[in-house]
Amino acid sequence: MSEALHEPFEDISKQRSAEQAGIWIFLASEVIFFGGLFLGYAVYRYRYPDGFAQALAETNLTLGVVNTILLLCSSATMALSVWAGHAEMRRLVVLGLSATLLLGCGFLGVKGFEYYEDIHHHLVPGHPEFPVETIGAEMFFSLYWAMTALHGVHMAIGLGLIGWTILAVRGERLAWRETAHLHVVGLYWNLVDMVWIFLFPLLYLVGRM
Amino acid sequence: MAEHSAAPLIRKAAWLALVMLLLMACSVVSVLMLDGWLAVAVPLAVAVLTATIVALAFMEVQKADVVSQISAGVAVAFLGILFALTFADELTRAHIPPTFEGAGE
Repeated sequence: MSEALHEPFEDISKQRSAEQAGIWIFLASEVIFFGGLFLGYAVYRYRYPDGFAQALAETNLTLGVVNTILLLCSSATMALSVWAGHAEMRRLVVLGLSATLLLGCGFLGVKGFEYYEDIHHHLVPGHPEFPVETIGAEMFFSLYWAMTALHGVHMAIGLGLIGWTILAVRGERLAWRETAHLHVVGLYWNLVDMVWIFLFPLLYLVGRM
Repeated sequence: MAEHSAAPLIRKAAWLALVMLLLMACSVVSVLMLDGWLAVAVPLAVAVLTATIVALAFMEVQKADVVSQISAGVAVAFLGILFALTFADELTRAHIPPTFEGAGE
């Protein structure tokens, strides 16, 4: 059994508040970080609407939909494990986290396959056989790679956290009942999902021909 | 707490997931069936709505303490400022040619 209270806190409620405030400040910095990329997308989309529309038509809508389904379901299973944590249901916590881990791994697997397909179709900015000649199309794919890869890195970090949490909760090596650990992991995962909720329409839907 | 109370939590998560999946389906169908500004507005509106569900139902922003709520509010406000200032410049600029003069010569 691990100790819940850590220095410099004198009571657990203050420690929980600090943990929650800390993750929210971190999430705020993440919003600004991804916000810059979304802003870049918006400006270039405004400048090169035709190039962006033609480039977007090259992305694989089916795989985008599959990944969105996986991620939306993972949001729900993550929330389920946080609620189960409040109710001190250890088995449901582990079940929810395990489902989230599986769905998240599924997402990264599908994304990896999509990347393979994209490279196979020369959808890489600067490639001599890049299939769309309209100006702005390569900019779309620069943003596509940057945004999805950064999102993927965030997902991989989240999956690592979830995997570690499953082991720690199962082995009672974490004071998950007293601390805000589950809530913190849940908030991080839900923000990563939220980023995809906006990436999906911008990279697969809006202006599709 | 007893294990039998797991069912309401699972039901709640399943219903919220179903609502979000239906919203996503609306978004995809709107792009395939609609033209013009509606094909842009509907997917973006659905994204905002889905993100709101995640923020309120899953992240429980409304239940967070004041410091956390201020952090979330400041992030959204700064994002708004970032977009407002950038587009105030972008929309009022003289036309920028798609390529530099003399390029390719």
